[in-house]
Amino acid sequence: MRSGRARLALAIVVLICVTFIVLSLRGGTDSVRGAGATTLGPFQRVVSSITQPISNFFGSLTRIRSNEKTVSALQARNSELETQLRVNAGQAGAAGQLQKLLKTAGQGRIRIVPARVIAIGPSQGFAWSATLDSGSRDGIKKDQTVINGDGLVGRVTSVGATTSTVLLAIDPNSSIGARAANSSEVGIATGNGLSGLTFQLLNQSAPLQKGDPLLTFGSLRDRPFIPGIPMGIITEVKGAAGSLTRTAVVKTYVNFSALDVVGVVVGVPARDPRDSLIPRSPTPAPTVTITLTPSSTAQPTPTPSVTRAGTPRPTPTGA
Amino acid sequence: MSVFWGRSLVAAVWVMGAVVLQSVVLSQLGLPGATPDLIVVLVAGWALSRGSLEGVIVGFAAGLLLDVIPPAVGTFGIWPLVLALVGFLTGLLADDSQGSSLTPLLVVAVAALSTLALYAGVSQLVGARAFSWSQIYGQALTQGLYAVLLALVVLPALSATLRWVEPSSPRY
Repeated sequence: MRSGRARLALAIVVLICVTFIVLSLRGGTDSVRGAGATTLGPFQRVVSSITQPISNFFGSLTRIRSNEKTVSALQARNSELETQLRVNAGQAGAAGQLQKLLKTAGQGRIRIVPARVIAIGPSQGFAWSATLDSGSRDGIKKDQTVINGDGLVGRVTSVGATTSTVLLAIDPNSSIGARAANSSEVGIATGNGLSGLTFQLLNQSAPLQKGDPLLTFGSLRDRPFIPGIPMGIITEVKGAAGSLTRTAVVKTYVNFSALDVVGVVVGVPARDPRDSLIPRSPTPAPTVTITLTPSSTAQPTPTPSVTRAGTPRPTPTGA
Repeated sequence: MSVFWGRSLVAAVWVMGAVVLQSVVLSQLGLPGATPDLIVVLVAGWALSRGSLEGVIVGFAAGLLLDVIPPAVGTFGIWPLVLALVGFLTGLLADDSQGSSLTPLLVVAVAALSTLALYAGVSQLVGARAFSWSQIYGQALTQGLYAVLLALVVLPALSATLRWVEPSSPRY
């Protein structure tokens, strides 16, 4: 009797299941799984949060050997990538500096040989010199101007086959003919270590202003200095006009404590680039002003006017 | 009547627990070979203890749940069919398996293997999913082994809970 009921139950179940299968094959049971996910998902989550540490432990037991392999492979890969990353970080910085240098050189139509600083003079604070990784093979000669993207770096004092030595502009023994860009006054800029340059005017009574950029004056046949390379900006003027010692403190554009990519000038522009290489100051944004004039007879007419600091513009009229 | 409801409750808890454990724990252990099939052990154990009728019902319920619980995919309805069949067939042996302690383990192992074969066969028949038979042979051995190991734990626990509801139940 029991066996008969069991057979009946089996027959019913088989019928139900076949119906399910047919429905499923026709794509009619997707919503069942959705409902299952909604109702049973929370159970799974609760059980999983309890059993996760245990099953992780057993799972790691079964994978212990392959895990060891994976760990060592990943460690090797990681150190490799870390090295690559450090190298890349340096390369990226150098690439940015090189781009800036090439842009500056292009603005002044200067031909340069790019080089990297590989050593800074050993007697820090007394002699400021640097070794470059390019030499006579690359076309570098003695007494050529060295610049970077910001401005003047120095001049080449000695050349080897693959290296060359640069006397930096901030070396106390370095005296460079300079010209203040706005007042056109000429003087001599002497190195003063990391505190910058000291600019001494030839004409003691000449006017000199704070914020005036300083450019190289240039040398005979452009050796060792080509004209028009920005050196720095006057930050302080010492002594009144006409006094015996009249000097200015100049902050260099180049950050000499972080020299990396520089360019040795091997070809000079046909003419002095003048002030074109001075780093630009930000341009002020235009201000829009609208004035309303009340009138008793006519409609009020708004008068818009656009004013840009420094440059006057025609005022558009009308509504 | 209260015995009936008690047993139904026990069955529901067992089926639910087995399906959830199967999907959350056993399938993620990463054991070599097949995934241990707790549900077959439960269905076969229940059918051995209670007979074909309850084997069919428990198998159907477990299969239905197994086909619904995420991340179930494929054709809906094959698992209840297969597990109900296994429950029915195992239940037929219910009276013969009493006495010896080795026989239930053997029955469970055979049930596990036939579940595997039946599932593959029905899937093939319906055209839901193609199995390569070499793949099934490869899983069959570990499937049987895991089933026996699981049965060593599950069958005593199952009979203990059944006796708790109905003290006259047989013990393994």
